[in-house]
Amino acid sequence: MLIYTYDNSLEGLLCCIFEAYTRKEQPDNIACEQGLQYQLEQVLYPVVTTDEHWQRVRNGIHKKLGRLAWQKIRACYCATDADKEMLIYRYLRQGFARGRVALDDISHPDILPIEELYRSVGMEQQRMIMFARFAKIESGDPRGIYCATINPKHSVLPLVMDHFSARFNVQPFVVYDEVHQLAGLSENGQWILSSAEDIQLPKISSDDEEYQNLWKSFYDAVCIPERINEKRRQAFMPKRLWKHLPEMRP
Amino acid sequence: MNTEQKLEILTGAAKYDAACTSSGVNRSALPGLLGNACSGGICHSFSADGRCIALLKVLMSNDCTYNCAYCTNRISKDQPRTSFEPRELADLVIEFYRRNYIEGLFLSSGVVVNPDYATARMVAALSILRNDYGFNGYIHAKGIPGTSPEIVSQLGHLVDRLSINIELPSSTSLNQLAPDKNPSSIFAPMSQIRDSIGESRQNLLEWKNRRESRKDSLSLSRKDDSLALKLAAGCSTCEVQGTCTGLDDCMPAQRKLGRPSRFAPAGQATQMIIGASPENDYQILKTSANLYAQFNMKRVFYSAYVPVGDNQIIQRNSSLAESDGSVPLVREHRLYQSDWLLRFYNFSVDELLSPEAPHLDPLLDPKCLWALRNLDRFPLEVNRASADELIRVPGIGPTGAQKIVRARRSGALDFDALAALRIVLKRAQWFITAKGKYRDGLKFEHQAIYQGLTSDEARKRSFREVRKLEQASKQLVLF
Repeated sequence: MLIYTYDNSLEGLLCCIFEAYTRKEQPDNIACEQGLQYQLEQVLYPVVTTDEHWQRVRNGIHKKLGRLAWQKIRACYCATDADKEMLIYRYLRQGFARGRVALDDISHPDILPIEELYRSVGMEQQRMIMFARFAKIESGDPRGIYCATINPKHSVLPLVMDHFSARFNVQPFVVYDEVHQLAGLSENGQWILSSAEDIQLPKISSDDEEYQNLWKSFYDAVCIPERINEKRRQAFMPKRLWKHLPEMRP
Repeated sequence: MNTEQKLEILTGAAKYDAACTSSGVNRSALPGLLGNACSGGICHSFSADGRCIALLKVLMSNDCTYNCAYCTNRISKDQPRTSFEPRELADLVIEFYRRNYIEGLFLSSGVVVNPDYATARMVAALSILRNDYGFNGYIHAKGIPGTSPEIVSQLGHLVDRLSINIELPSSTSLNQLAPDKNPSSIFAPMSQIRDSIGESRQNLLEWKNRRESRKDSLSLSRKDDSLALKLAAGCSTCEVQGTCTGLDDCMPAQRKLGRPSRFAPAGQATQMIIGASPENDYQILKTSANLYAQFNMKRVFYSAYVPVGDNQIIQRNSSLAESDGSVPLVREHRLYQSDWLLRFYNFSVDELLSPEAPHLDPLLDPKCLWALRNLDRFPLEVNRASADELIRVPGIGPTGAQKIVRARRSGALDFDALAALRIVLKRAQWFITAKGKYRDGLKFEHQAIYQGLTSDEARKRSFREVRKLEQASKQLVLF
């Protein structure tokens, strides 16, 4: 059983695909270097991430399969699914073999999983854009510094930072993903990603609570009591996200 | 009264307005300005009634001098009255927006003193937001019938969407229930808004062409171009002087680019209250179709009437109401479904309903209803039918039709493949064949299809007799 190992980055995964083509072989699995349990029948091939290699694969995707395909792969890589590497690998194999028409064959067993995953990651990305709630933290900055904590199912932080950085370019802010221990930091429309293990979140400023309360007042007042529909609310706003929503506090 | 109390009262007064969408315009973020707008719209929360919250939906004031029977803010109702100060409201919007609570503001107002006065107060608040605070997010404002054209024009240049509520589906009902409003005071600003939007589009187009040709002849870069425009006289409040024409009628984002200011770029919308007056669904949809055709409406919203205090006129008129006088939400829902069929599926009102059968079926969505009446067109072979034919199949929409057309290029589709494409087979299965075969175990026969389609709905609600009074109501039409 042939297993490619890589450095747990999208670039690394693209290099695995490059290797599979140049070595003319089909890996049985692609796995992350860290935390891999070696088993007797496995043949490991560690793939080294090389800029030239992943750029060639990325350019190939752009040219042969189009921007949307690249966007799908970028999004699916953010998924938490354990076998996302092989799904992406098989998707690209199909695409490179048969061209764009293969990617339209949505019911094909190599194409469908990526379509589903893309939908799922896209939903989560959208939910974070909708439900991330910022609070002002204590700081000396006259612009105010804002902080949001999110708990997404997939690691979508890199997919939402563009949106927030553009929209909130007048205020420096942090988005902290407590599930995947990542933080996105943004100032003046630029952002960077940083790993954030065991970080201490800064203190929320005292006047922020006032706005949280005002927001909750609005939220409660805008409901039409004759039409309470709990099922519908939870369908759109899953309960797992409530803990970071000021309006859902008791 | 403090801000929190005002917020509660003025939200409660605005909540029956159905529209809360933040869609229709793409405005990218600009350095130094707070916010942007996405044409798809973004919701930020969902209230306990399951409705989306995208915008801060409040009234500027609920101190209304009108006495519209269906309205919770009518003068005859005894309740606390209050108003926001323009700056107080603007601050609230900014603080909420910065925290990602909202996508922008949806501002409406009771008729304080008179329409001009009330609208001018809204203009004051929006002007602080746009001009003082550089707010670049979404704003939807409600115009008040009877406002003078100059003030409507100011308002239109500050907002993304501007709407005047038509309120009721016929002028007879309007006269009866909203004695202070009349059709012409509603249609005049609607026409003005339509024309201003057209003009502003035209201006933008010309500006773009001018810029292109200037670029060609002088080979100016975009940066130089905006520098050149800065030299043109602009209004004194502009950070960067542009080509804007006055104090209140330009958005900061547009100013920065030196573009002509735009009038309600996300278009015009309106709202109709359903069930407070006796019009049937056919008449309501006819009115909608006319509104779309005559005023280029982006949306017509339907708001199922909720009884707000005891009011005899309303009680007497509601023929399709629940026992407490409210209108079943399913009626509103069916109207929205039909509205979508009109706008995105190329249906006409007369295909869906007729004066003889003027009501939508609470158990069956309008597309199924149409398909059942036109069984001679079905079943359709999914591997051969055109996209136009496919979108008329219940359970298949524009997206589904697209997917089918794309997927069948790589080989004929069967029912499993359709399921993988996430086609709603529950409905579609009755109207299609795949690879020439009708689905196993189903019978292509009117009675069987009707039962198959309605069994779920019938189980969900005990089918009360909703169609109690179907008096042949006179054709009450506005147009």
